[in-house]
Amino acid sequence: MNWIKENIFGLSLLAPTVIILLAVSIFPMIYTVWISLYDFYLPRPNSKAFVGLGNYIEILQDEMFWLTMKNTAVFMFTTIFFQFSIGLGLALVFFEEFRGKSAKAIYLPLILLPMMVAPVVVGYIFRLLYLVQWGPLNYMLGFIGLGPFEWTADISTSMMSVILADVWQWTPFVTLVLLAGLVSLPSELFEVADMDGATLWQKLIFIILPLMTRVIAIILLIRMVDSLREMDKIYIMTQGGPGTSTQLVTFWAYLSGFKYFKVGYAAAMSVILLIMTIILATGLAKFLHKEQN
Amino acid sequence: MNYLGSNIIKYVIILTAVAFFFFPIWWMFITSMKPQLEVMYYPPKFLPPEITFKYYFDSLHWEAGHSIKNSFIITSVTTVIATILGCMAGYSFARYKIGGFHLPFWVLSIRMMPPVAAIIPLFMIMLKLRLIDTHLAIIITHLLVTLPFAVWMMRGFFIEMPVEIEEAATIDGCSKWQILWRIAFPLTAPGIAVTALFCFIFSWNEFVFALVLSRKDAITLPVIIAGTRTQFGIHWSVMTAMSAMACLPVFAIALVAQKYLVRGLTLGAIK
Repeated sequence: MNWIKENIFGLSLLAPTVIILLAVSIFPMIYTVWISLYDFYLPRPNSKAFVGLGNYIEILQDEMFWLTMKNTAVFMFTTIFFQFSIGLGLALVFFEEFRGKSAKAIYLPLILLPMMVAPVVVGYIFRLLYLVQWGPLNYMLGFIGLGPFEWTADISTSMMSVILADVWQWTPFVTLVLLAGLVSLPSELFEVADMDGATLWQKLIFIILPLMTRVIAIILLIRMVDSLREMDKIYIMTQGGPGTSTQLVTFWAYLSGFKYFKVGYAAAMSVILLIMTIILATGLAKFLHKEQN
Repeated sequence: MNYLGSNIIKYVIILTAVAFFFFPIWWMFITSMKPQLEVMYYPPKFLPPEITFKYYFDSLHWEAGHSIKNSFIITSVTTVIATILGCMAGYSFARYKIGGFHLPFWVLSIRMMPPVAAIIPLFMIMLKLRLIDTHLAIIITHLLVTLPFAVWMMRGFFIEMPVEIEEAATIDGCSKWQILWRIAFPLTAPGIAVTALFCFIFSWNEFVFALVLSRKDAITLPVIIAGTRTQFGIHWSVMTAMSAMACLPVFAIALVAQKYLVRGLTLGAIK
């Protein structure tokens, strides 16, 4: 009681936010869990039957679910691999370039733009670049004797096409954050390393990676959480096709609910998706916690 | 010589990177200004032969004007609500330490939730409340993304503000509200601005909630852009013109908030 009295001001500042978030997130989440226990087909809302964990069992036995899980894993790890390796390389180059100067250059803002573009727009821009006959990509690749590729229309290249769009959009994020991390390291470290004649590779292994594990972990976890949210680009670029070659868990849950109206099934899938997000978020909390408190 | 060589390699890498990241955006802008016949043309033209703004006006027939207005209404209301409540809750977390680290992190984790996981129940609730295709429905769902972010960011900014200033003000007889309005908010004004700008970007670019919850009246710009697909294929000229219009406010914000971009994008973890 005393505690409430002392903190009444803080509590009343907090109240509206907590009420809104309870209403728009916790309540729907509980509702999702509840729906996931029913066989609920939207066109016949009154004929829902309690099936317990039936939907979950159905999902775990569904080949389609495992296929979308596999695709999601491929999408997540391939995008992160390329984003991180290209992003790290660029961050190092920019860092070398910036040292001793104020970090204002024209090209850095140009590199920042991709992550500001709405994902829907990114999806369409890449479809435009991928046009088989008229697109600039096939035209340019033609000069070095490659292609023409069918990009999103071909099962063997569709996943790579979606991945390329995501790599384009989010590599700048990795570069920018790593660059901020590099700049915050004590510059004496690099001066000493330079005097001792350390190569870039040695600096990377012995200085940068050990001192930036926290930054790197945060980047990787944020990217993982975001790729579990990915849906806009898939919606625009491939709708999960051709066949099932780019079907991700998120988009499959969306289709199950809003195209096939299997709401109970879609809800159960959402719960599984939520659990995966919570696991990643808990990991992220550890790294955020360290500094903030 | 070695020095010169490594410098050349460095600049080649930088130029390649700039070309790679800027080219798709460049392509979007020039496609929107090319005559339509030039879009489907071999070999593709990397500079527009003539510049036309016809498709920017044509896009009005696709209800671009209506959807831009909707987007502005939804985005502004969302931004204002999220920023105000975010400041209040962020201050409360930073100064009163309610819930320690875990309650604020619970708030933040809502931001990470896949939209698909919440959209089914939200759709059914909005259906029951007859809110489908209203601004209110989309604003509420956009708060789901922006409010947790705003709370978390503002918490970080208030933690950085030295507590001694507020203690001095208390001694001088300021009430808690006066401290909030006269000291805490003005001193964190840049942080508040950056938080608001990020909320604007999130809401402006948001697609899934707007897609599911709008039909015609409340349709937003990303949903209209997604709908440029017709039975004859995609209307590339109109699509790129609308996309360019969707990009401009966000690009302007990115350039203004450049300094704080990292902080916003890493949820305040890296400054």
